[in-house]
Amino acid sequence: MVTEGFARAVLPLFEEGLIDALEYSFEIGWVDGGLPAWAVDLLDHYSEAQRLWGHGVTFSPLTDAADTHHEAWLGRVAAECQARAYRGVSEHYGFMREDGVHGGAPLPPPPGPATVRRGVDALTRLAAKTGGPVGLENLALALSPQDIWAQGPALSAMLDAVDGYLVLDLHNLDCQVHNFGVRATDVLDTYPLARARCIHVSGGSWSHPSVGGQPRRFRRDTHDGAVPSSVLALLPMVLARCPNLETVILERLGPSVGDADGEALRDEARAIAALIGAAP
Amino acid sequence: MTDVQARFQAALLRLLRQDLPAPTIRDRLHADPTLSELADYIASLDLHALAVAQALVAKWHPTDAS
Repeated sequence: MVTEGFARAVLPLFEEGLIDALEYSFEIGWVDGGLPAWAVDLLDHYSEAQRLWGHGVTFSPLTDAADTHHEAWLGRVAAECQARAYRGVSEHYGFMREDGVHGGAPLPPPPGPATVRRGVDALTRLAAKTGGPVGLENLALALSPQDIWAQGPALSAMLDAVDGYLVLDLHNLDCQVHNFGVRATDVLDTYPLARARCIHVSGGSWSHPSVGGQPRRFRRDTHDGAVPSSVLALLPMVLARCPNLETVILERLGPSVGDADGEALRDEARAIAALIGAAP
Repeated sequence: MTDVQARFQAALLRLLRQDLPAPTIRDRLHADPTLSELADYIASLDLHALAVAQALVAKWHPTDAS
């Protein structure tokens, strides 16, 4: 996942002094062979500087707690937190496995009190293992308009219960804007923005699912493309609405970055830094 | 796993891996008496979004049909 092409693209940004914080998705290092030495050195450096954030992808916090997968995942994350200091550890709102079936990406749970109870339980256990703050990221995929409007109140209830933080992913929000015709500001109004400590900025791709011979363009949070202008346009407005924000993370999958993409990726990082610098 | 949200999660993932048309997935969820509390939610499921979810599951799990 941490490819040589990705390294060539991003290392100049570190040399420019543009990168104030790193977010490490644990699963990237859980592959055969682990991380390259340069990536380990960077994680250690940012951890020692108290500027490293942890992020999970496969915990599936809203899955039933009896799933044995949870304990195995929590054990690995506990070991990560013993090896390095993290400012916080976050996961995604949603479920991606049940009865051993893997959903491939987080899916929205149906609204309801049991979903909130499950989220509070998962975050409580995560906090016990990490010994620090825990958070949740808003989800991109909605299966129903109800998922969009239920997510903010559910995130509020879950994060309030553990004094957790929101990872506000602007591309995930943008996906819901494109796929369901909602207004970003209306959705943001339902989110616990005072709890946002991290913002994610990323790109994605379009799918064209067909139902009954009727294709439809559908935005997906695949992290393998350029940051859309619609996402960058959200950033100044959101910066003004998140009083406890600490960092903005640019997300990109390593294998999607070739040498031809390096300059564009660096320009995205510079554009984000300029927007942050221009914020009041 | 006794609450209706958990039953829905299991039923949805099971159906998503069966290579069924999206309308059939929604119909079968709707016809499941153990999910009747979620009837309004199930009726609101977007068929194209279900097709995207189906593609995600298929990427990680071979479908039962295959």
